[in-house]
Amino acid sequence: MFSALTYQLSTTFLEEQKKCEGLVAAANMSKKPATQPTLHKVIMVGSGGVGKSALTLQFMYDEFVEDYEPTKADSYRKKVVLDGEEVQIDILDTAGQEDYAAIRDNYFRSGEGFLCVFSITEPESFDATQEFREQILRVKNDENIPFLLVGNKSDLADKRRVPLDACRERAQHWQVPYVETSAKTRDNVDKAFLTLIRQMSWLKQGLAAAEEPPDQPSRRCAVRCCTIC
Amino acid sequence: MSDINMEKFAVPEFNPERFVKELAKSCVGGEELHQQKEKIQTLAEETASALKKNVYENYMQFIETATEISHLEAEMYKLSHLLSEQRTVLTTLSHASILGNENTISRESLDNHDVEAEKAEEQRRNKLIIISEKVEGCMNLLDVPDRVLLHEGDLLEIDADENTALQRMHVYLFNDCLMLTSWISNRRGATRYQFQCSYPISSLAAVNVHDLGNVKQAFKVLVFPDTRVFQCNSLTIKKDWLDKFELAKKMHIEKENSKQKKKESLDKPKSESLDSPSLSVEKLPSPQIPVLPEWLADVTEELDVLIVERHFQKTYDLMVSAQKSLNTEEFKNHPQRADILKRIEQKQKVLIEILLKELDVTHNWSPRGGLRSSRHPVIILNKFNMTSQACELFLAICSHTVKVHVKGVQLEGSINSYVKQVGEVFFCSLSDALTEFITLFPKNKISAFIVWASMQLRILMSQLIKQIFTPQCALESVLECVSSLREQCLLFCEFGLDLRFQMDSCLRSPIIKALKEYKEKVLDCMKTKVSDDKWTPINMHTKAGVNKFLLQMENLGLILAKYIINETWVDLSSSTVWFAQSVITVQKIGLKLVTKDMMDVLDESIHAIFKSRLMLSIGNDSSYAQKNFKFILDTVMPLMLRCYKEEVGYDNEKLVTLAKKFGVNIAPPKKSNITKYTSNEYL
Repeated sequence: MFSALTYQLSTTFLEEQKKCEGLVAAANMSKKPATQPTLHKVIMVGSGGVGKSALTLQFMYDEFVEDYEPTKADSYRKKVVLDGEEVQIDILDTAGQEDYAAIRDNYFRSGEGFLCVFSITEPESFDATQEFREQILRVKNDENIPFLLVGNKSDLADKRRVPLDACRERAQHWQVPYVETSAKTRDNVDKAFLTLIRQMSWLKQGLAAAEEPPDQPSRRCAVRCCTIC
Repeated sequence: MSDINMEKFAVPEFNPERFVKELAKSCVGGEELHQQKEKIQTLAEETASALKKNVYENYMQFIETATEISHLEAEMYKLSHLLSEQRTVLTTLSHASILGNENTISRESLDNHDVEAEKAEEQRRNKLIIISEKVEGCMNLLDVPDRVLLHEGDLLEIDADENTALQRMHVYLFNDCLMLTSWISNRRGATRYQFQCSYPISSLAAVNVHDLGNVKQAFKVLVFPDTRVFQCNSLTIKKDWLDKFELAKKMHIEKENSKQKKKESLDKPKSESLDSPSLSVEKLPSPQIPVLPEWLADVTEELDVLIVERHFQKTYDLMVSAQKSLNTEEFKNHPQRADILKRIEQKQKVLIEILLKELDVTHNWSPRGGLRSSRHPVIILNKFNMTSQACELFLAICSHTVKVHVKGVQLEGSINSYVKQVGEVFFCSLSDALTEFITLFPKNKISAFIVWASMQLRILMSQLIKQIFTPQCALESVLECVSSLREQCLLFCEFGLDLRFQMDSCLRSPIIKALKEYKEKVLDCMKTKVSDDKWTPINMHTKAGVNKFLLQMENLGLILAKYIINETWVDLSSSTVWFAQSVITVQKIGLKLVTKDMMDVLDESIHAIFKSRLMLSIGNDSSYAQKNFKFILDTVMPLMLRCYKEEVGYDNEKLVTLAKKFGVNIAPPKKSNITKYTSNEYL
């Protein structure tokens, strides 16, 4: 009689334990999709013909597209491993042409980080970055929005018309990193994107300012190095 | 029961079963049944042949109807083509008004006369109403005055983060907003979609999605803070959507810009009117620069519309009145005058070009409208001093119609009826053209018509001659054709244009040729006939045959009753009778066929035939041959001479000399002589 009772108890206990295990498993299962890589929304801005699309395509598919066809608004998505963690990057490649200036606000609003591109062979495009910066700050209303100044077409060094010092000066003034890239040779392309994503990721994790100050200088250093080369 | 006829079968309530039963009942034995069956069979055969005949009779009619129908079809096709062209014009017009040019919109909507704008407006409203009926809980689509649907379609919404399908959507893109609706799965009827939300066009941005994992053919709509991703069925659909989004955006921007400009321009005049009161006309009408009335200011647009609507007469009137009023004292020094005049001139050129094209036969001209359809263009062109060109084109149209009409005549049955019909049709269309020409063109152009008409006649004759004057053709049929043509031509003279000379000149050489050929033929035949002749009377076998022969001869003018012997025999040899027939026919028909200038040819032919016959007789000594020879000399020769004189009014000199040579006494009055001779001969 007693033994029968204990048996019953034990079975119910076992069953409950099983249930609990199941619950834990279920919880784990439901957690898996939740741990999908974080999505970072990057927007390419800059005047027409400076190489925004070329940079994007080089970053996305490791290819350089020679033909020029003005972009309207194209979006891309890619998974990248950043510091051992998988993240997703959503790139919105916007139109540089002036006709689209009035529509830009709507695009910029959705961005979390900006790659502001100009061509080192074209001073006008460098001048235009000022305007883009102002527009972005106005739309996002955030001084610390992740932002990268990118001087593209570094392979055309002999045609360079925007002095390196001016570029650095502007970046310093804005307190943003400066990277010089070549969409043609893929020089610094990954670096430019990854630098921006890292910034965004820190900002999202709330680490940007407070918790990991030692990393900051090293990043700056890395950026400087790449600007020199 | 035994009588089987059509009526029995033709009754509508005819029942074959009952008929057979009754037949079987009433008939006795197989024999009778067999007979009945045969009767029915013959009846069936008769009916079949009758049906065939009917079909053949109606065949031409059927073909004509069919061609008519095909013509009509072509006409309808052309019409529909025209209509669709008009439609595209209309849509471009409405499109133009969409493109944010508010000035034109307001003007058009204010202008009650502008029916087209009104129609477009109504269409737009109807479209929007239909959409709001389809969508449950739809927002008020008619609250914005010029909202237009740019694009709509089914799309699949995708979760932007998970890349999985969310729901089926039906999306409407208007020029000012985007409306998202979801499908109602379990409902039939007018409402098919459920309204979800709408975004103003100014707040959204469309993005082409190049790469989103495994999601293909997608685009994004960024509406901060939302991002909505839609998947399309195909790349072209996606491209369509993106293009339409861009269009909407551009329209929106343009509208904003124009609004701003308008505001600026509204601000400006106010300030200016304060500075320079001369500009505000209503208060201080300045005599130097009078304001153009609206119709004059917009005259070029109005002209465009009228040209497109093909109101050519109205276009011309408007042009003239505009030019007139611009040349009055009031506007003589208006700054816009030269500009408007220049533009009117351009429009005039356009109009002339269109009118010339309208008249161009080679360019899509339809003969169905008839000559009347070219009336308006010609009149207007005349007013533009383009009479010569108009005249040329008009005559080209006339040529075309004449050609079409003549071609429409079917060549069937005898050549005579064909020629007659062609002649009728030709001269009818000629008279149509003439009356139309006289009303349309000034008197000094009539010479052009005459030249044209004679040319047309020459063309027609060259065609007809080929068909009438075939080798070995009978002179009778030639005569019939020619005389019917001459008759028509004579009738046409009543319209004031005598084409007889032209016609005769066309006919001259073929007639001469035909006569000569006929002469040769007769000569050839005569030699063989005379040499083969057995010189015996002809046996006609029956009385009827004799009577027929006598009647034939009487028609030629020979009374041969006296030559009948033994009731059925004719006391003349066969070659003699044949010769008399031939030579008299030549003269009889020839005299009707030839004109004065061809008399010598006819005379020569008759003379040659007669002479060769007489020469053939000289060598023959047989008494019966001599008797026949005498008949020819004494009966046929005087008859011919008499007929010739009666017809023409003078003697056939050549034949007379021939007669004298052979000793024929031709003293008048001949009629009694002839009867005397024949009776003498007989006695």
